[in-house]
Formats: sequence, structure tokens, C-alpha cells
Amino acid sequence: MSESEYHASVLFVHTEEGAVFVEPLLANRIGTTITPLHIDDLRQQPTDILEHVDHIVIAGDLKFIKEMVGYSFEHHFSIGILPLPYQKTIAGSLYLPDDLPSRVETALRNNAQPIDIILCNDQILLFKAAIGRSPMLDNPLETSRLRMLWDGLRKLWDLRLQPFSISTGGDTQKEISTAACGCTIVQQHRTSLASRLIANDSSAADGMISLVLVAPFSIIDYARFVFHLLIRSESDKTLSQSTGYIKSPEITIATEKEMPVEIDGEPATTTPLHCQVLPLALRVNFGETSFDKARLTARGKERIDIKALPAGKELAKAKNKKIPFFTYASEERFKELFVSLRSDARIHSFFVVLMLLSTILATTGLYLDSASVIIGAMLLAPLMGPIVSLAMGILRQDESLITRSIGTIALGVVIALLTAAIMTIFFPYRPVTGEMQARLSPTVLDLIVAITAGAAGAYTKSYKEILQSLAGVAIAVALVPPLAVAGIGIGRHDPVFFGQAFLLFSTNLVGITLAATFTFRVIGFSPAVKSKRGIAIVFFILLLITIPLYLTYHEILETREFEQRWEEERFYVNGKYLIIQNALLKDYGEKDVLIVDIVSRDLLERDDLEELRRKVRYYFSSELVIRANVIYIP
Amino acid sequence: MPKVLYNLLLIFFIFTGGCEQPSSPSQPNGSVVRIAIVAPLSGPDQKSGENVVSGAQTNLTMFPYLGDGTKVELVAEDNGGTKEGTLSALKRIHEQKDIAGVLLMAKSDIILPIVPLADHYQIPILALIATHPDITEGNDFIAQLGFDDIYQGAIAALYIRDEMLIDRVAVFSDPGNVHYSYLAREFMRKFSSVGGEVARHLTVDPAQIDLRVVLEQLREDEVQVLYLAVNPENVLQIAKAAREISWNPDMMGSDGLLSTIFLQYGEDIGFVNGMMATDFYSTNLPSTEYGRRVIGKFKKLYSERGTTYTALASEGTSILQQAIDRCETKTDRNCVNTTLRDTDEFEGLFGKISIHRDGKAERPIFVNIIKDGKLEFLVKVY
Repeated sequence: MSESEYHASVLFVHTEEGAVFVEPLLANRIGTTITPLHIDDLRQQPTDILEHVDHIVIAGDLKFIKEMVGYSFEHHFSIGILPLPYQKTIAGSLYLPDDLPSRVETALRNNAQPIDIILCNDQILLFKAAIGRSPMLDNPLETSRLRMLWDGLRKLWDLRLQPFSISTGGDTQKEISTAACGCTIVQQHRTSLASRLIANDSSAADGMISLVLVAPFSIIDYARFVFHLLIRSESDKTLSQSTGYIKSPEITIATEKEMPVEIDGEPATTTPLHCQVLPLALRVNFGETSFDKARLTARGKERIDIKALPAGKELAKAKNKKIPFFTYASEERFKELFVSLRSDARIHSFFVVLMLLSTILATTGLYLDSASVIIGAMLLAPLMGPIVSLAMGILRQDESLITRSIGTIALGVVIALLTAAIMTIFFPYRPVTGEMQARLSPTVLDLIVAITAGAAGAYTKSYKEILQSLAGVAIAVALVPPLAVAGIGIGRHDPVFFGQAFLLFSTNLVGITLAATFTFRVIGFSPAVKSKRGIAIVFFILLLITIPLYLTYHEILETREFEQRWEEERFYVNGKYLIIQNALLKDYGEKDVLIVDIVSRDLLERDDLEELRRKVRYYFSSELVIRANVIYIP
Repeated sequence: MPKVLYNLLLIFFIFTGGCEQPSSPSQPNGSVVRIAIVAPLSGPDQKSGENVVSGAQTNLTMFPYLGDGTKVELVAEDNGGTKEGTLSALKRIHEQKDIAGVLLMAKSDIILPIVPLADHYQIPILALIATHPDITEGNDFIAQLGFDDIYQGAIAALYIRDEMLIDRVAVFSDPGNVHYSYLAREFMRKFSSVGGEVARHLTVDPAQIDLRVVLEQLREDEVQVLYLAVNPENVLQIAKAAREISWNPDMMGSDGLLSTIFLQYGEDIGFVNGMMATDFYSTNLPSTEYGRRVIGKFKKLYSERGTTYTALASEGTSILQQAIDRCETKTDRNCVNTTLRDTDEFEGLFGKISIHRDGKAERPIFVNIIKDGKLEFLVKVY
């Protein structure tokens, strides 16, 4: 680079803090003559000093920088900024290099770029202005990520939609009435989270003011919005949900009540706020490394995108209201989903046929002890649909949806029980297979499966893009096989068999319903008028079901611990050492039978077995019956 | 009964576990009966003796009265860890008629010479740690709380043979000690009877043999396990010598090994890490309700760590108390002796204990592995 591309002589105006750059500037490698000047000295005779100045290097706090920007309007000099060590945002927005010698060279270059200056109520805005609350977006400059997150979370709990009247200038000349929890004017498009929303649509020299309005339906919705913002790719040009975007050379923002306005992180003025662009009013030295000059010089187009903001009747309802935790939804907004759910809740001929076929398949698979056949039955089973519809009905207190869903589920249950019972009665051979036994001891773990599957089912149903995952949900929760086992219990005239299997089905039914209800609520399908009665009833039933499930789980744990302990027991009977292996405790109603392998070196005789029995009764329980398989050590 | 009341009672029954509550402390009736504990409160085994007294005291703190309100007190008599001291203590106790029974913390070689005199004194004696089978022979007044060496030796042999599937062992024993020599003999008899080979039987006298040379020979002979029927001091010498020659064979000791090393040779406890030992207890097994209460109380009362000796003393005190409680005249020594020998299904710290008419105890034996100063459970043999 030739020497002529640098200024030959430069005035360096600084504050106390900025004085640290005097020496590096004086020692610049280019040979530019530097004249340091403290801001206090400049203030005494600004006109005399600045009259013939072409370029000034400055260093100091943001207030000082704005003061110098003000002087530059009057005296038309360009500015090279040397940011203080903590002014990372400024360094970033100017694309400055990291090391000081390179920054000095950048500041001394004779190639300043013109950029816009925004004046809001006659105050200079360099980065952003914020009105109201936009958690995570409206943080002061130089806020750490952790601080930003903490402040954002604190602000989330008291978000309200405030009415805003916005009028634009330029060609559009539009009056807009809406509500938002906060709005942010973004000038610098690189360093803040807010700027990520519009980074591909704006620049500091497009002659436009970029106004972002945030109007979430709920706190959950806002959290989702911020999350999407964080993971948003650079190329993403779509606006996030709950966000409005206005781009105009002139914007006036009015509120019902006077609201404070922060400009560049400092309380500066109040509403009404009138902002206008002074196009290319300031010339600043930028770094060159990744600086896109073409984009910087391109003029912007006016834009008004407020589809996601409340308007009309919605505005009247929303304004001045605290934002709820969960999103409410009108049926019109999700028409397609509600049509599908209502259809699922109705009894169709295909429901009856599928229910019959899946039960026949499940019952046969259970008798065959074939997991693959049973999985086939799970996939055929049509019960998940009405259960998810029931969940939505409960959430929205839609009595017709609830009644229809319950009717359909009840019919499905009756079909399954009858089919399995009839098949069992006519089966000549009725073994209790492993697949049946696996459904006779429901525990809280099954409830966890049901709850997870219910949440997954509701989530999957809500987004047609992932509808194919419903098959996985059906397999996970397996509604028809427990019903088939319960039906087999009826066919066998075995109430315990029926009861345990039906408990598993009930667990699935209640778990799915509750989880799906909650999931629909989180996703945002609550009605505007809330009723907690339905959820409370399901929750109460869930609590009731949890008791036997917990007891069964506890019993299984105790049994396993008992079996494991037994595998560490040894008996010394009549001089013979007996090693216990593979203990299995079976509950045969009145008596517990412990089936064990006994490993012994010696032949066991009747006396030995009598002594073993005596020891077992003495040390353990007289009720415990042992069935032993003796294995001899060669 | 009104239905509501019935339901309330049912709920109360469920929440109280529906099980028997511990009986509330009896009202004191002013009478006192004493239990003597004879233990080494001086001499080299002093720490073990003090540990035993702590265990007995723990039990008495929990159950200070008998069912009829008679207060139970403990009289500690020092035997100095010697035969003479024990005999002298028994003579003193014999003359104190309010002492109903004796807990004797003495090794087998100290008790065996006293056996012929037991019937003369006619005072019920519960031997806490002595495991020689002859202690209960030829007298009607000495009972054992622990299993005997026939049982202990056999279990050690069978565990090594049938569970570890080991063919060749070497046995160290101490011919000067009746307990260890008997134990070694029983071990070898059982191990040979199940097809195992005792490659070498060695007596330990460090003054006469170089343990490193002996162990080097055993390594060359491909001996797989060393059975150590020797006192804890000798066990440490063998373990140190094995480490010196960089040999790490499986080793198994006997009851009370870890407790003695912990109390008397604490700084050397690392040498027995990984060694197996038969014992009355295990550190990591769930204890009974009684066990939980005793362990909790001991921790509250004492800063020291409980050992096998503490546990035996606590169980022994409780068993003797129950035996006394079953007699109408609490100081009737003949009655106490009879009821002591009729202890059935006493809920000990880790399971049931019975003392039969012949004075022998029926209780499980634990095969443990010593790990970081604790007895980690391997198997429990009934």
C-alpha cells in the first residue's frame, strides 16, 4: 500500500481513557504526523480547531464518540475510531482488526466510508434504541452472554403487550396500530442479537431505519423465538414468528402512555419518538478484512412486514395484557389439525375393522410368543388417534370432542376384550407365554413410557412434517397388546390376569392423555378461556393409577434384590457345601416359590435336603418353598 | 364400628407399617442385676478389650432394663489377656451373687484351661470370640457365641475348592496356639477330602524361618492360595514378605483378623488389602433392625470405629439379658444358664443366632474380602 493512501497529518482527539493511544499513534509506522488533543481543549475553541481539519482519529467513551460525530456533521471531517479495550461492539461493527498497530493503520487511512446517521428526537443513535421490553434483544452494549441470559429470563416473567402507533415516512407513508412487548431500532447490523433478525436485509448505509417489534403469544413462544434466533443461519431471510419488521427512512413511534426510550444502552428520551435517517452523513474508517463494501453502499428498500403482530380484534384483546406462560390458540389458526382430531375422535368403519384385525394379530402373537407379530398389531392399532383427540378435548374443554373420543376409545376397548376373550375360549391350548407375562406387571416405568409417548404423540400430531413418527409412538406405547392380554384373562376366567393387563392399558391411556394434554398446552393450543377441571380429573386418575404401579415396581425391585441376595447365599448341610445360583422368585398366590440352581460337589441325599429345608425355614421364612435344580461339580 | 373410624384405623395401621413396635421401656422396679464382662483392659490386647466393653455398653444404653423393670448393670473385670487373670476375675465374680452371667472376651488358648473349672463356679459364661470346639465340651456352663473352628475351617476349604476352583494350597499354622492349629487341621482335612492338594503345611516362627525364602519356594511350587491359620501379627509378616518378593497370591485368614489388625497394627492395614477372611460379620451387608439401632447408637456414643469385637459384645449382652429376663429370679445362675442354652432365633446384627443346649451357637459365617480397611462381603454360609 502506498503512503498516499494515508493521511499525512491527523488530529487525535481523546478523553482521559483514550490517552492510552497517544504513544502508539505517535509511533505509527506510516509516518503520519499526529497532533494529540484532549476533548476539553477542543470544546473551548471547536470551530477554530476543526475548520480546516479533514480527518480526525478519536478514542473515548460512547458519549464522547457521539459528540465527535456531532462535530463531524458541522465540519465535514471523516473519523477513524480507536476503540477502548472494552468497546468490542464498536470494534466489531467497524470490522476492525484485532491488534493495535493494525487498528492504528486503519484509523489513519484515507478511505473513510460514508454511512447513515439516525437521529431520534434529535439524539444520535449509533447502534440501537429500545422501547418497552424485548428480553435478550434490548440489552445495553457490551453485555456479557451470561448477563444477557439472566436479564432476559428475569424480564420474561412480566412481559406485557403495549399498544404502539407507528407512522412511516418515505414512499410508504403508513399508519400502523399494533401491540408489542417491545420494539428495537437497529442501526448497526453485525454485533447484537437483535441485528441477527435483519442482518441480511439491512446495512448501515441503506438510508433506512430498521425497526423490529416483538409480540409473542406467550412466554414459551418468546423463549422459542429467542432459541430460533440463536440458532438462525446467516442465510435465513424469513422473519421469526411473533416478530414484526418495518424499514423506512423516517419512523414515528407513539404510545398511549409516555414510555422511556434507551438509545445505545442509556436512558435518553421518551415517546413519542421521531426518528429520521441522515443518509451517508458520516464518514468512518472501516477495517478491510471481511468488509463487504458492495453491501454497505447498496441502498435499501422500504419494507413493512407486520403479519405476525396483533391487529384488529386481536389487538383489542391483546393490548395491555400480561403475556401468558402458554400460548392460546383459536381453532381457526389450526383448522387443519382440529379437523383431523375431530375425524380421529369419530367412530368410522375403518376404526372397527383395524381394531378387530390388530386384536386378532396381537392375540395370536401373544400365544405364539412372537414379538414381531405383536409389533405388527401395535402398528395396526387405531387407538392412539382418539386418545390424542381426547387430550385436545380436555385441554379446550370441548365436550363434543371429549364425548366422541371416549365413545370411540370405549368401543375399541370392548372390541379388543371381546375378540381376545372369544379367541381364548376357542383356543385348545392356552399357554402363558413370556409376551403375556411381560404385560402382567405394570410399573411406574410403564407410566414413564406412556407419558413420553403421549407427549411424542401430541407433538407429532401437531406438525404434519413429522407425522410419520407416529408409528414409533404406537410401538413405544403399545395399546392393543395389553388389551388383548386382558381379554385373554377374561377368556381364562382369571381376574388377576385381566386386572394386571388392564392396569397396564389404563396406565397407557391415562399417561398418554395427560402428557398429550400438557404437550398441546405447551405447543400453544390452549383456548383463550381456560378451564383446569379436565386436566385435574386426568391428573387425579393418574395419581390413583400411580399407587398400584409404584407398589408393583417396588415389589419387583424387592424381588430382584431378594433373588440377588440368594445368589450369594451358601449352605453347609451335613458337611456338604451347597452353592446357590440363578435364584428366581415366583409368586403362586398363597406361597412364594424360590426356584434355584444348587451347585454341589457331593451327592445330595434325603437327609441333606431335609437339613437344607430346616435351615431355609430357620434363617428365612417358614412360608418360603424352594424348588431346586441340583448341578454337580465334576 | 362406624365406617369412618374403621378406615382411620386402617390408614393408621398402614402408615405405622402394621408391624410390632419395640416395647416401651419398662418402669424401673428398683432391683438391679449385673452382667460381668471379662476382657483384657490392660496388656497388649487392651484396645480389643475396650472395644468389647464399648459394644456391651452400647447395648445396655439401648436396653437398660429387663421386662420387669430390673436394671441391668455392667461390671468390667480385667483379665490382662492371660489365663491367670481370667481365672482370678472369675473367682471374684463367683463371689458376687448379684452377677447373673459373664461375657468372656478371651482367646481359645486362655479359656481351654478354665473349662474343667467352669462347673465348679457354676456361673453361666458366654465366650464371645473363642472358636475352639472343645470350649463347650466337658462342662455345662460355657457357651459359645461364635461358630467353631470345625465349621470355619471347613467353610474356608470348601470356598477355596468349590468357588475359587483352586487345586493347590499352602497352609501356615501356629503349633503353639490351640485355636490356630485346630483350625489349620480342620481346613486341611476338609480341603483334602474334596480332592484338593495341600502342597505345603508350614509353621510360622519368624525367628527360625526366612519367610521370603519360604514364599519363593511356594511360588515355584505353583501354590495358588495361602491359608493363614496364624495370629494377625504373623499374617502381616507373611503379607509383607510376599510383597517384598513381588508375589501376590490369594490369601485367606480367619475370624477377627481385620479387627485385631485395625486395633493393634493400624498403620499396617494396607498389607491385608485384597486378603480374604472368614468372619462373623460383613461391612457392606444390610443389617437387621436391631443391627441398625446398635450401629447407630454406637456411632452416637463413641468416636472409635466398631469392629467384630464390638458387634459380638453387643449381641452377647443382648442374648444374656434375654436369658436373664426369662428367669423369675434374675440372679438364679442355673436358670440363666439353662435359658442361655435355649436361645432360639435371636435377631442378631446380621441374622438369626441360636445357642443350643450343648452350648454351641448356630449362626451364619461370612467369607469376606478386605478392601480399604473394610470387610466386603463375598458369600454368606448358613
